[in-house]
Amino acid sequence: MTDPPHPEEFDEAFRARLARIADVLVPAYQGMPAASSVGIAWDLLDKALRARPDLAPDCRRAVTACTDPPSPEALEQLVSEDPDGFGALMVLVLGGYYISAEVRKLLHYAGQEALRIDIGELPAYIEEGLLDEVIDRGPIYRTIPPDETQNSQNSQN
Amino acid sequence: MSPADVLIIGAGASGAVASRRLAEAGFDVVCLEQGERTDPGAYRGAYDDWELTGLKQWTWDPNVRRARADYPVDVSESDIDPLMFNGVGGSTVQFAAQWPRLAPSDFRVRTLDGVADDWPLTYEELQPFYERSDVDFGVSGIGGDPAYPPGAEPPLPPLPLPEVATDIARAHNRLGWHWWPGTNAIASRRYRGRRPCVQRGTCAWGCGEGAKGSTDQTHWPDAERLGARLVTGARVRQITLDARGLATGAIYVDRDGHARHQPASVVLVAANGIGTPRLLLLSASAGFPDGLANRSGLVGKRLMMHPFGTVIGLFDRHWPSWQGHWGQSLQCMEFYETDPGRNFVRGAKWGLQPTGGPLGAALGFGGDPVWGTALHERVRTNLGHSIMWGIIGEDLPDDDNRVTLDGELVDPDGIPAPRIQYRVSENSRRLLKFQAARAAESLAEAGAYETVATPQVRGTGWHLLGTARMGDDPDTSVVDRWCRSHDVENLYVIDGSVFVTSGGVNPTATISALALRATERLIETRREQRVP
Repeated sequence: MTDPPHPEEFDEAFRARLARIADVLVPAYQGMPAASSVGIAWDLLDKALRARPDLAPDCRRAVTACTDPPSPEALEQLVSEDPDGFGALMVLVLGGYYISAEVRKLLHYAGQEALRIDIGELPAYIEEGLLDEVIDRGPIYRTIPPDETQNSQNSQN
Repeated sequence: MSPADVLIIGAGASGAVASRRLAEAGFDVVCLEQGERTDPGAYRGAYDDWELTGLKQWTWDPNVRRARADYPVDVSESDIDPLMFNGVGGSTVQFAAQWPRLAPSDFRVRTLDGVADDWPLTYEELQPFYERSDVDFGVSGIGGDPAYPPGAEPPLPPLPLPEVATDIARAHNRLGWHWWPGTNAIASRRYRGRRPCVQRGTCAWGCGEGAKGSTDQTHWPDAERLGARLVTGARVRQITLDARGLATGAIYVDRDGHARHQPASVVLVAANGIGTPRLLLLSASAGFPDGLANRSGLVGKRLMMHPFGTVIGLFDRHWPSWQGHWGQSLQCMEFYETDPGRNFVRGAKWGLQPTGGPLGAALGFGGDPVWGTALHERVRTNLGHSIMWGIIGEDLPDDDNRVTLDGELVDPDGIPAPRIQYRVSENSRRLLKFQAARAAESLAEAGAYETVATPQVRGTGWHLLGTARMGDDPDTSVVDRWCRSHDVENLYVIDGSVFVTSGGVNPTATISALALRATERLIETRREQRVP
């Protein structure tokens, strides 16, 4: 396996081309910004590539193969002809997009946070008697009559 | 290295359980582990690249991860990709820590339903070991679940539920269906040096808090303090025998590529339902031309991987649906038992789980890729608005579902890799279709305006079971009821390979209880044990 290219090996022309593709994948929509407007082809791409350097060769191939300017039809063609390349492009573009602080703020997503849990608080299902209703419905497991075994030889115990 | 009383191959759930108990009983234990120790600080859950690295460096799939410790698995003839982690703690490092037990009926499926085979032991025989394992792993939950016979309370109180889970509980009460707060090997408060869960929702990519009951946290510190010798970067390629047919130890390849022999009086194999048959088949010899301990011909056969489906409920309300334990907040056993009115036998357990972060929402779970405005819509409707029933269905054993050695593929040490042949059965397909429909009803009753079902997902082979089954008859089983090989007196298999049937629940509670039971038996019968 060849070493993936270092992010800096993606020159400006390549990044500009990737940004145009990224805007087809992630356009502006109902208050959410287009991928290029949050810097998808620059800092975010580099950040995504630092996490996933293995995707660089496939991404390069996909971007190079896609028509410029890109179209949804060109992306459909990429999906059918180079699914690995398309997959790498998607993961890097979407991965970078959802790392964006601006995007996260709009989604009310602050990452996976550490929360303090309070197990002293009585759960609603206890307080409301919800669990009692389950218990009141009785056991649901099947009981096994001791002599009803076909191939067990428990007498060996 | 000096000879050991007991050599254990694999440092995952069962290997750790046996190592600690044997060390506690004064045995000199050596454990060979092909992977390394993982620093919990290396997990990415607290970082913004968590989802990106979760698709590669921290994926569950060894064929994608391709770390030095991994071995490739030929899955070209499998409907499901087997998943595992190779390192100290084994797959408990990345398991969800859902901790249900098999039900009593699981041990008697032939008797009750006329399919597969009964186990050579009962729920009641295993129950004391389940309860001891609960304490050792720090299990949280509530006792008295009517899906099981009465028993001891879990050692820790249950983890909190999101409000929507309480709505689902109310919905099940209206439907008259079972639900119960999830049982998880996740600490809900400080426990034996472990910190409590922080509900980060990244349990399956490694718990940086140390709250999850992975055996690198729960067992190995004690085992090593008691004297167990844990050798990492040691990939076993053969179990060796003497002229009398007793195991004498194992040959392993160290990280420098040197072959070494570890002698021992007793050998325990704990390398999971794929690694164990692979090693037994690799250990073929003149006395065992078809693989070690394989006079029954069943080593590698009857692989069960639990076909897994999901149903996601979409709700109008907003909550941090990406947080919580993963883990299960609720479990449902309403449709676990066979109903003659259905077109399949046996059943499934459901576990209620969070749905992950924005990249996961965007990429979907087992679905087709979307982009453009459809992508924004998918994220808008899922992130902060969804919860998921994960459905584990009983996977009946079939001799044609099996592990063999690949003729060409090898691991990084040049050792032949395993090849999987596995097809999802018609019974499983019907079972999952039925369960998914009921799970959709559950979520709709709780207020979901839409449900999205994926009845069976390929990359979900977390549970590797059945490839060295236990039984009383040496012609139809590989190990006896105590996990000892019928063919080699001082060789034991103590992992999920010994399962006779899969049940329809996550298996680690049962793997751990069986390993503890087998280890106690080994200790009790130490004086009768023939050794080289």
